[in-house]
Amino acid sequence: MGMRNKIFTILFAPLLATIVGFADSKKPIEIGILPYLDTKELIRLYQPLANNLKKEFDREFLIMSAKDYKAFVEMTANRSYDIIITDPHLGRLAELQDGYAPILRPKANCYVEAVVLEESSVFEVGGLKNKTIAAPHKLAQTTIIGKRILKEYNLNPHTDLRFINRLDHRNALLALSKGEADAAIVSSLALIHAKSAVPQKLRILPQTYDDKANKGEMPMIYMLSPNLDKELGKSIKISIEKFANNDPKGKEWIDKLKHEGVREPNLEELLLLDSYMDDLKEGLE
Amino acid sequence: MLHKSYIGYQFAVAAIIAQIAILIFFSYFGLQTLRTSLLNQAEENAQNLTILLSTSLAEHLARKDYANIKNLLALEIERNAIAYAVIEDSGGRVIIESSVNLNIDYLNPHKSLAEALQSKDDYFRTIAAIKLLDIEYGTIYFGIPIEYFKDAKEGLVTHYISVGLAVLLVSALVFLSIGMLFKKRLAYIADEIEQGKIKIRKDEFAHLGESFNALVSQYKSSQKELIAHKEQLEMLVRERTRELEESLQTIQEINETLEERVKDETKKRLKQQELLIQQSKMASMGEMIGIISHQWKQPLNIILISAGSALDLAEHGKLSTEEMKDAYDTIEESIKYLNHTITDFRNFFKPDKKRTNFSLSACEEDVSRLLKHRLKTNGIELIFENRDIDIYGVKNELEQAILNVINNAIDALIDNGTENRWIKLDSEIIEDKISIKISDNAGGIPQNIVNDIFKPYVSTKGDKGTGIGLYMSRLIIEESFGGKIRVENGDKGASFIIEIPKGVDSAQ
Repeated sequence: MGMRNKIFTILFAPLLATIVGFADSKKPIEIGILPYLDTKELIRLYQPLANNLKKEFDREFLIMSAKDYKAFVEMTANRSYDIIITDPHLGRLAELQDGYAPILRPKANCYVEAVVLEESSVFEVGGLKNKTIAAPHKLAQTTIIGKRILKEYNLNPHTDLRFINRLDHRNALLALSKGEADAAIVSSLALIHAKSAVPQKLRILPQTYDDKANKGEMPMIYMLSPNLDKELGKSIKISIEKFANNDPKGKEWIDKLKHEGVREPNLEELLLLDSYMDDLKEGLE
Repeated sequence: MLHKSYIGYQFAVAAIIAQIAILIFFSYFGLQTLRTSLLNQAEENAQNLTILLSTSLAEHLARKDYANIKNLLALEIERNAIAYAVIEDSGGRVIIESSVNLNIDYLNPHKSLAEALQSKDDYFRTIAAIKLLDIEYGTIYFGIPIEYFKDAKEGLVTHYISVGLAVLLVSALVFLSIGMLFKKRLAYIADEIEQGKIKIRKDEFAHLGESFNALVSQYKSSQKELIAHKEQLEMLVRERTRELEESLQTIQEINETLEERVKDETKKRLKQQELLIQQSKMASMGEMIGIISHQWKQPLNIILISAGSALDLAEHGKLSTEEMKDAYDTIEESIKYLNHTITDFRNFFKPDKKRTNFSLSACEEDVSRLLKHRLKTNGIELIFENRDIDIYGVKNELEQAILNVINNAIDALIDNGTENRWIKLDSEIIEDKISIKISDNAGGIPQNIVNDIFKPYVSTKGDKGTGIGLYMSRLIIEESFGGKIRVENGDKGASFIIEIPKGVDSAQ
């Protein structure tokens, strides 16, 4: 390197770095949401959060998703998103394998519901023997828990019934609506947002909440990418917490999601998610 | 003779020159009109393509599904709708380029299609924001091939020139023939003049002129009529278009506000229901407080007496350990009873909305315990003729619905001064329904209000009743359990029949 080049580098390198840094600081922050509903519905549901963060941090926050659960897991592993809102077991995987940091979870729990059309002749979960059941993606927490519930009713998902996986909760309900399945397994919270896609009336099959497999799960988890600046991540967490728990507009948003607010997940809750890892690895293969 | 022939040619040449002038004039304006129409068409195509790309790519971009975007672009390139495309994400990072070595100045788009057409470029370089639900997810730079437009333009000129030349050739031949005929006629007249046979036939020219004038005036009048018809038609079309636009606008306005209005009405209705439920709960609470104060009187007296005797004995130094323990046991027993009463009361009123499986008999036992004192005081026997049936729903709510009906029966039994008073609860499963029948021997509900008994503010008790207890029971049964409640007057009294679907969660 010639003397002139050296002088050029010494003088302009910091300036260049500042320009690049500035450009990066203005890059939109991407909030990746697990595709548990269709993309437009997810944007409609989570846009109030993005709008508030944009107002607080004076930069763009974009609601993103993926074409399916597997693509979401892969993009999470590639650190494609700055913040993720995902199923807790997928969040735990991202924490253990890719260094994502869990920050918040909804205060509400969700349950797994088996749903049939109102005129169905099935009146209890035990009556699903030899029937076709539609569920969301095989990696979904709902699908994994759904299979566990069926086992508690002595129904083996491989031998006692036909299990079909659809992209998301909405598509599982659509399979039921179109007559492709006799029942659908969906999460109680997703059901609130997805049932409008089905023109027929639905009926939830009764099951006791004391079931070992259906004791109420953490519905989602908010996590920060290891690529996101730590201080910025901290401020974002505080901002989300304030918005969801104290701001009237945030409360309206949380009410719509039926999440009852947000709080930090505790270690015990995170450790409990390790029980899903085997099912998850099987699904990812 | 020579000059006669000259006139004929002169006429033909003049006619051909006039023809050429007319042809050039119409060709120029015709070409301009066609060019404008072609340009408009091309601009419309470009706009449609922009909208198509912007909307069809948006959802894929929000999903980061770049493989699908590439496929879509490849299809558009294959059908020659676009020549190239470059997509940037919202951060300005290039994420997709349709070809690896794109040697086009895509970052410098043309201002308009017209500008592109005037340039030597092969593509109309343009740009569009990729938006989903009004949120910008990126930008697409793409080029629309304009060769076809240039070809069409050139083809148009060639076409016009060839048609023009053909017309010119034909008309030259026609005019030459007319010129020749004209020359012959003139030569004939000149010959007649030379021979002194002058016959000026004014009438021939005058007749020709008159016929021509008549033809022109007829043509003008037809044209006027046509213009008048055209204007009338245009006016009608304008009027119909305006009417249609107004109707469309009205429909749009109705559509825009419909959802809001439905929401408002639903909100109002829910608020009204909540208010009624609250009123009903307050009324029930008032009754309950009355019951509790009765139920507490006796144990409180026992506590007072036991504590007083213990204190008395202590003051006289006669309080043995055994007597103190007796007093303590009595007081503890009474406090347990008080605690039990208040727990029942609290359980009944706690805002628990959790749906569970519960047994109907447990629900009826709770109601019976709450009303125990009122039933006993008024000498009413509560008879259960039940099958133990499992119900799925909010237990508290069913308890409240049954409690309201029984309270109504108790009031009727008291008001009517019935002897041997009883209230009977009977339940059974009929096909896929659970039927709960609550009947009494209070004489029945007056015929004039029996049809309105489940409406709000309708009461059999005059000023004493709130008129919302049975309305609330109906709300609970219909909305929370997806069932029905009805009343029938029998020989001895009224029967309220509650029917709820077996194993139904009616929260849908």
